[in-house]
Amino acid sequence: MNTNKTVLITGASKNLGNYLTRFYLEKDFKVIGVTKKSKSKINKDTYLCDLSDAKKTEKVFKKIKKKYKKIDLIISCAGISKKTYTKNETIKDWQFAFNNNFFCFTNLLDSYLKVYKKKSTKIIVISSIASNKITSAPITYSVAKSALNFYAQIKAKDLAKNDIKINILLPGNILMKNNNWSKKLQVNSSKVKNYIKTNVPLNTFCKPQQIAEMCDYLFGKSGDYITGSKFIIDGGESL
Amino acid sequence: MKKKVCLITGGAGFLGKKYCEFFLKKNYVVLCIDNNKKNLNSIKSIKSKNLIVYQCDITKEKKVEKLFKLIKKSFFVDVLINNAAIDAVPFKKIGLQKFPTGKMWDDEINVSLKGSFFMIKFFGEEMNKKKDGSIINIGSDLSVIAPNQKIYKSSYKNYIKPVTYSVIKHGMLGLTKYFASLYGKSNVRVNMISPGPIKNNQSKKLLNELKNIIPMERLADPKEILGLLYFLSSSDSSYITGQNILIDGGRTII
Repeated sequence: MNTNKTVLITGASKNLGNYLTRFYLEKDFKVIGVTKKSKSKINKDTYLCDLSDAKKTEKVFKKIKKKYKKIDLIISCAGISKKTYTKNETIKDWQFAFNNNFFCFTNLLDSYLKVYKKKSTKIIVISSIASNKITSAPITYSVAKSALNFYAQIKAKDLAKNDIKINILLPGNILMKNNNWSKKLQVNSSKVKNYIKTNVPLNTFCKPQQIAEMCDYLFGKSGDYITGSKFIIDGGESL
Repeated sequence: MKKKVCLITGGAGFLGKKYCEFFLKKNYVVLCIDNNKKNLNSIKSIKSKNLIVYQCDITKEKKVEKLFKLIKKSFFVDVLINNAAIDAVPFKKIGLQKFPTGKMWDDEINVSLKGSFFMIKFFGEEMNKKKDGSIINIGSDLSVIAPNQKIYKSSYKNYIKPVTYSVIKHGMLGLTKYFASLYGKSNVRVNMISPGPIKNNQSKKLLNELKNIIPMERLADPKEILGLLYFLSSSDSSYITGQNILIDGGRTII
């Protein structure tokens, strides 16, 4: 039971963000959701906000501050990848990738620091193994996630003295209902299974629960001496 | 329910003893391996029927094989912690003497790298056959960065951190990645924990020097290492393999 703990989750209405919302609600946390378009079906306390807009982000944080004096954990789950890989990416593609995978976190962090006056907290940034390894993901997405990692590490070093800890999770191949991998499996199951068999030493997909357990570990006392670290949860794919 | 078994090399030393006590509290059967008689006597002060102590020189392949056969009669090792090492304290030398001798080099590499390899060769291979297990190698922040010699120079008056320490810790990472990829399909996970400096009665001067280079401005508490060991031992980390997890207050960030 964690009735006094508060977690803020961005990208809370879909996929991993939705899973983490449910995970922390079941642990009796107060969960604050922030989503871009649709409100979460499982959490009433959800705020609509396009985090790539700095002013809107600050405004939503001011609103949240009125209700919650302290946020114990922030999980930045917002992020989008265009499904198709193109070798002719345009400036619009780059803007899309950076707005949705990089600026949505810089704005989140800046607003938190400003509104909550650098109050001690733990922050977990959900990145991707595409930020660390050349994969079939679009280059715009991979580079934006890579920039996100480096930004988060620089900030972790800077904010350690304020007891604000920032760590980065780099999941590989998460399989969830209706997500990209699930759709790929429906289209060509044997090709996808063969990919996993050939490329992932543990020979399985990543389960969202495995990401949640890592968040839980970092949030707990055992994670008190860890900041600025990258955690690769990919069954060994990037070895 | 059958108790899980955790084997810890160097289990009777400063940190090894803490690991043994922790896993006993977590209801594991703990197999403590060490070759230091004095330390082995001291660990016998822990009164628990779940603690079994073995003396073994893990640098000798035949002795590790004998130990493995003996343990196999009674236990399957679920968790192997390769913690044994010769403590490479900074030493003061001038000229070429500041480097370790060939014998020191061999002794240190034999315990940490060869010893850990022999343990994986027998106990890891058994995990591979049974398709289950977690191997944790103990590294250091010096597995990814170079030592800051200024700290040792000013705190110990011109002492330096031996080259062997850095080389061994980088080598442990190679060992970790190699076996993670080899054993991945058998559901045997191999990871490494790399702590920064841990609180252990350091001089005030050294403590201050270290605090200055650690963003969190403090040293690790041994308890913080235990939490990570347990996480990597458990199924909570079931999709993590081949990783070097730094627990260093931000020391190695960038």
